[in-house]
Amino acid sequence: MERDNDGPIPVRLPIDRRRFLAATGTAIGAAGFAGCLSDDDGDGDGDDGNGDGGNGDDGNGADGNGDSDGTEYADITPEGTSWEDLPDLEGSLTIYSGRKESQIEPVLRDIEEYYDGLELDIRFDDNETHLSTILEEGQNSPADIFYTQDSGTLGALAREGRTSSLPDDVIETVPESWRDTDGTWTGVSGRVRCIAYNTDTWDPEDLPDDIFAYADDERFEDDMGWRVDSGSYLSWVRALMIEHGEEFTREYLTDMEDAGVTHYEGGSTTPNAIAAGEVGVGFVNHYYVGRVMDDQPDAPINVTYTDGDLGSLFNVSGTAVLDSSDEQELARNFIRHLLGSEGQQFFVETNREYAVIPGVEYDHEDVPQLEEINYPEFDLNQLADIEPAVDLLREVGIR
Amino acid sequence: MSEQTETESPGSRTGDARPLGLTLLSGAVAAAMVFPLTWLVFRASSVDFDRAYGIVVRPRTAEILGNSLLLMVGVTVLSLCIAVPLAVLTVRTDIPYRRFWTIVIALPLAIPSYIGAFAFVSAFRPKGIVQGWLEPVGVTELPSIYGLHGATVIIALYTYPYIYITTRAALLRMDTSLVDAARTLNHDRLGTFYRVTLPQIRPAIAAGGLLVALYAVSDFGTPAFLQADVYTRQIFLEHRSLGGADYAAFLSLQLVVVTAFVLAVESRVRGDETIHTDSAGSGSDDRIRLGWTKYPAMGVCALLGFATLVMPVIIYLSWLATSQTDVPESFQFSWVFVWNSVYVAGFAAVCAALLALPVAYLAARHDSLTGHLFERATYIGFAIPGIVIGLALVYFGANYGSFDFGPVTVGVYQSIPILVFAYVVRFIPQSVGSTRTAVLQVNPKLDEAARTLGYGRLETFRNVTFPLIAPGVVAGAALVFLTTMKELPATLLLRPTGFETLVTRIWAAESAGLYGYAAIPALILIVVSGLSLVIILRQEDI
Repeated sequence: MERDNDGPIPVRLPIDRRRFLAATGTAIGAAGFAGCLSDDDGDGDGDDGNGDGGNGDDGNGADGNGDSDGTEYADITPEGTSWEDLPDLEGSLTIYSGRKESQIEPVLRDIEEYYDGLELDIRFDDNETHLSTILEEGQNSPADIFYTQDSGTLGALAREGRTSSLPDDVIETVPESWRDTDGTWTGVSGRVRCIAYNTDTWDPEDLPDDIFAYADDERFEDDMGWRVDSGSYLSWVRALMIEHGEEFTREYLTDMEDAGVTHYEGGSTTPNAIAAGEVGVGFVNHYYVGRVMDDQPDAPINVTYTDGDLGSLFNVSGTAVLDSSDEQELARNFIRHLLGSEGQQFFVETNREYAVIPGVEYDHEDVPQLEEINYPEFDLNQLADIEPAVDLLREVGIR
Repeated sequence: MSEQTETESPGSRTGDARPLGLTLLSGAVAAAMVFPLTWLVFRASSVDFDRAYGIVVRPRTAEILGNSLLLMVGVTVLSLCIAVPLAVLTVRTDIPYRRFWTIVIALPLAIPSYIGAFAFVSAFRPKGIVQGWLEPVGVTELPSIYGLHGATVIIALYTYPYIYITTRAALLRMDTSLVDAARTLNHDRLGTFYRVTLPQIRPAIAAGGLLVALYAVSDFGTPAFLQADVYTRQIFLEHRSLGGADYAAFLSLQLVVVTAFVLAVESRVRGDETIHTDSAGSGSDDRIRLGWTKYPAMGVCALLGFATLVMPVIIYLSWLATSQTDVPESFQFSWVFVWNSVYVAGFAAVCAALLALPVAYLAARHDSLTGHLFERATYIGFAIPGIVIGLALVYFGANYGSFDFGPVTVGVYQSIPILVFAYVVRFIPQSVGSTRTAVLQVNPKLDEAARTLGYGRLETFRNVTFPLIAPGVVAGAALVFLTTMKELPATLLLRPTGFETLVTRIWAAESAGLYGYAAIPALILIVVSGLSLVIILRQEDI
């Protein structure tokens, strides 16, 4: 069975439309309000942002953050807002992070060091363990912010009613399909699913640019692997079900099983197996591979992307403020910092991720720029209910 | 000097009036150990019945149950085959460098299974390191390491020390004058071993074997690495399904049922346990002379030590050598990690030893149903994956863990006490088993003599029994210490924020794919565990 051998070519894409709109829509925001930073801000914000469950009429419009004493701060905007212009952070925040310490601690500590009066208590564990922990803790949870690796976990927390509203400027800055439609969680950086391959055994030109072609291509029999224990895999299977229907997804998964796909567990296990040559091809998030490439530059591994199908699903890592937190305003301002220029720049430069605002320069060559990847439009909000995917995977015997 | 095993007077174990205080104390300990499991019942009761029923009746449930049982039996049998001969080798023969080999053989217990499994997979995977070595000589394919058989071998390689340590302790305490007697009666060595030695050390072997069996079903890391489909893997996949803890709790309850069954079976098979003798002497120091066979014997020990200890360290270090990433400062090694590990583990070991004493003593000395029930109850936590115990304590700690003392409020959630409690719940059976075996080897007539001479019950225990069982108590505490040092899931859930131990650093590095940065904490974990073993074994050696 011969496939057309042109492989995934970098294509310039329709995504630019939305980014363009996002970029122009609220462009007038920041500039004028680069207010001097008064030192009594932070938790002194009183009434202006604390309305749980309803945002929109809390005085945080597109015209800046009105402080109770009249000091004004800039909003978060798509073209980037410097930390200098954002409200001061003072107090102490507890962050439950499902993102790895090695990746995320530096930017969190940067923010902490930027202010004298800010103290961060960060607990690292898996996304799912944190979710279970928060649900067990109930209203007594010490966590103020939940920071996860994928949108599904945040969606699950929102479904339990445990997230509180984010300010308008945040909601207006982040494209709608990358945040909660109700505005209770937001993506702060992006990643794309990709095809990772062993460069000793495969030429990128020989790899199909259609994700479903791998299932019944004999060349890949017993030579594929994927990670099955992550929330991001569940989200992906759920996305397939929403986009193509349950029957199609069942067939696809069964075909993959028949083709002898190896089920790995643990984040870097699949890239490592590919680099070791145990399997030639794997379906993973791009930044895991970027990490292996960074750490072991000689490892024979690289990535390529499928063309416009869910094989290159764009997903976000994101944050939410817990409803039980008594530091609502401080927590929101902290998230503003992650979405500010310096925060977004960090994700791009250091982590090889993608920014969720357009106003960030990409100046490295390790992973392709987002414009070069034809990723499909997909509303991540549809992934909040993951259970059908769990049941389907159990049915076909993957779990 | 009577040289006979005492079998005729079980009455001496039940003869005393039932000690009410001891029973209450023992019951309280058992209740505290089982208490977190009430959360399981409570959580499992909120599952959707149809969905839960669907999970139970699907054909794969039978397969998973079968796999779990196979894993348990396989690991136990393999561990027995490794541990018992090695215990005899290091106690009853004149093998050179005895203490060194003893530590090497016991040390794999200190290695977390996720490190061991990772190393074995790196070495033996298809196109892995070993295959790379063998390719020049024409071997292009190794038998697959993945699957149940791979998991069985690897778990056995890291859990056989349970049997080794308990068996070794029993051999050391054993009255060898019996062996001398059997030898004078013209029994050969093998016959003597089967007829005299084995019956005496059987409870110790069973105690170690039980720990191995329960550990095998509760281990998650190794089956996950080796793609073996067992109960724990299902529990974790369920736990990772974003549906809260309901189904994970539901599956864990099934694991509790399996555990209860194993405990009942082991109770039956351990049989008559009166293993003490009337003599106080330990007989001659007649060790088996190995002659030239000492070389192959040492070779076997060295090979085992290389595979289980040296190879993982080398593999991690090789990652360190090629690593190019700039890592955050928090990945730099600090001695605080070592101190934190040692101090929580030491704390847990002392607590476990103290709490295990009444339970073990009651069960060994008073052949009552309640005593046995209490003793068995303390084992259940050992078979439950750490993450499940951890979440249970998250629930209790966050919602009921705050105490008002007038002006001061003390919260135990995310603190050292609740963390230590979790360790004790998980690991106390190691202390109970070891202490109980030690009590069984003390002739109750000694107590009776002391009582006749006017000692009270407590005085008798303190002055007569305790000094005799101390090595067993210490050995049990040592086991708790070693396993606590490597415990991960409950540590991550319950530690105070910012409290970093060696394993949390290994985890942080490994989960980031920075295996090289796991090398140094892993190496130090092995060294510290080894040192603690030296101290412990020195106390024990006669």
